[in-house]
Amino acid sequence: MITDEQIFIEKLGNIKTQNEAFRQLVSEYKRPLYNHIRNIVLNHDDADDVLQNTFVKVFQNISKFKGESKLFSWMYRIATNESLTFIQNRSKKMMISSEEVNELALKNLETDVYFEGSEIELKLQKAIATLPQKQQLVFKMKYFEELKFEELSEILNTSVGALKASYHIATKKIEEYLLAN
Amino acid sequence: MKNTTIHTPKIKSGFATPEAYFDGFEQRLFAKMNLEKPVKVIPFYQKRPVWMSSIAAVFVLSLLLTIFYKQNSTQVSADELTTYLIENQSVSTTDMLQYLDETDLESLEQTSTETSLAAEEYLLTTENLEHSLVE
Repeated sequence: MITDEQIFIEKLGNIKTQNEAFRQLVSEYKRPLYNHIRNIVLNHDDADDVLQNTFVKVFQNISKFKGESKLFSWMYRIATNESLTFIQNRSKKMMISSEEVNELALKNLETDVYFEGSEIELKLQKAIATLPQKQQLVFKMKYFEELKFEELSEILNTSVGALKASYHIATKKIEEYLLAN
Repeated sequence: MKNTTIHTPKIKSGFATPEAYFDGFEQRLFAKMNLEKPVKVIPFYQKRPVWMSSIAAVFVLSLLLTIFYKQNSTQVSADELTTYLIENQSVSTTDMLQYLDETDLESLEQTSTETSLAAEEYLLTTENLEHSLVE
């Protein structure tokens, strides 16, 4: 049985229809992917760069997409990799660790015109920054982006059980941080 | 009381975007990817018929050849030579002889003999010789 997604993927792979299909794809996914990337890199301009790179990668590699996962999960995976690579590249460029890059981005949030959060939002961001990278990812994708554990499992290639445990631990740590600060 | 602190009420991320950021996103992305509506490009080699190109090539070639031959030409006209000799009085007989071959010299010698005979005849027939010489 051919699903709508399969038809759409075929359109993306066909040179005659791919531009129009790609426009549709960008229109549908630009907002959720932006939010996902922004949650990782924190700064708007950086998120914009990474989002563009993500769509470029999607377009360039669409022929390699075999439909083993959902298109949505595949694009989220690319967006996650692009975001983490962006942070790694910046850490190499600045000769500091990825954690320090994250701390710097967090510090800049306080004066960022595109951060409209109050004290509690800023405190939550600081609490998330104390978590290991994988836990940060799981927490952000579940808490802010409200993705299902099954979707998270496909994107991060981790079992649902492990993700549930990771999210539970992350939540506990964050609550403790907020109570203590 | 599980997760009370962060789930009730839920805390937002606090992130905002510039106004109309998403409206202009596609345009910027497609410009970066060169996916703008395709502009019809006519290849140069198809734009003009072959015969037009041939005519243009022949014209340019003949123009170039004309200029080339004109620049490399060594022939000097008689008028140009006369003008040169008048303007350059300092050219000595020796200098001129360098440019004359044997035939020229023979011809010149003959002319010279004819001129001498004519001069003698003129002197004999002219009465007021002194006046002519003074003049």
